[in-house]
Amino acid sequence: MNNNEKTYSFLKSNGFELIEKDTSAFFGDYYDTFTNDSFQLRFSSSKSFETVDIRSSNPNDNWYDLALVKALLYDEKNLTKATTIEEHKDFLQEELANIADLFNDRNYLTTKKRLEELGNERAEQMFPGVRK
Amino acid sequence: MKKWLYLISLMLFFVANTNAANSDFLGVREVVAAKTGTTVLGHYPQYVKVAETIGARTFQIPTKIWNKMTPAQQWGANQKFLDRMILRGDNIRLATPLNQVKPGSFYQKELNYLFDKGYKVSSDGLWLVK
Repeated sequence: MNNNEKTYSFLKSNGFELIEKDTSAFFGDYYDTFTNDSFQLRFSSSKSFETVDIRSSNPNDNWYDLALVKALLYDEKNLTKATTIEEHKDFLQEELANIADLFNDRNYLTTKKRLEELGNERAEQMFPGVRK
Repeated sequence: MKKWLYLISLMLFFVANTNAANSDFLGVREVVAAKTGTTVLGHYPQYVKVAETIGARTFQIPTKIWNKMTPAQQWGANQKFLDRMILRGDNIRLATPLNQVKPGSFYQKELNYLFDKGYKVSSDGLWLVK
């Protein structure tokens, strides 16, 4: 059971629908996936760590941590800070229109490239020198 | 009294499972595909999907038990699982690549623990290797 109902209601009132959900028997893990046909949002918990990911509506595309979208929009430099589920929910409510802009047909390829770069930069910051 | 029983049970679990390859104690299970000798780590749901696909081992604790554990006990159980994985010499498959690891997650903690033990990420980013 998760406490995301308020955010889910917000999303539904903004044209999103729940398209997939799953709850594991272990660790309280779950995920709930919403889409508005332009992009998808996935709320999940992994060993009690709750988070939100985003991807285009193409199911073959990668999921990206919503924290990286926040870093992109706010030009954050320190990428190693943990983002709580409450911060994710606040960000969604405040920036849904800007997030939608990043994932529209015109901007998506640029957004994808920047999110890949930020993901790599974050990995470097978190785990320097761990590649063989 | 109940709390003591729970703590003793938890300690027994750690002792009983130290050398177990395929265990089931107090409902805490390590799901094993013993032939493969591969353990999958990552965020949910990726690690479950990859483990199912390749028939590999994952760490699993039922929600009811997990929720009763303190964060220190949760990490203790997780660490014990990693130690046994190392002792067996399992191949370690990363279901979630490094550029998708969430800061503050158990997965980040698992990776840091293994990097401290001398593991590195393979050039294709899919495995941890010595």
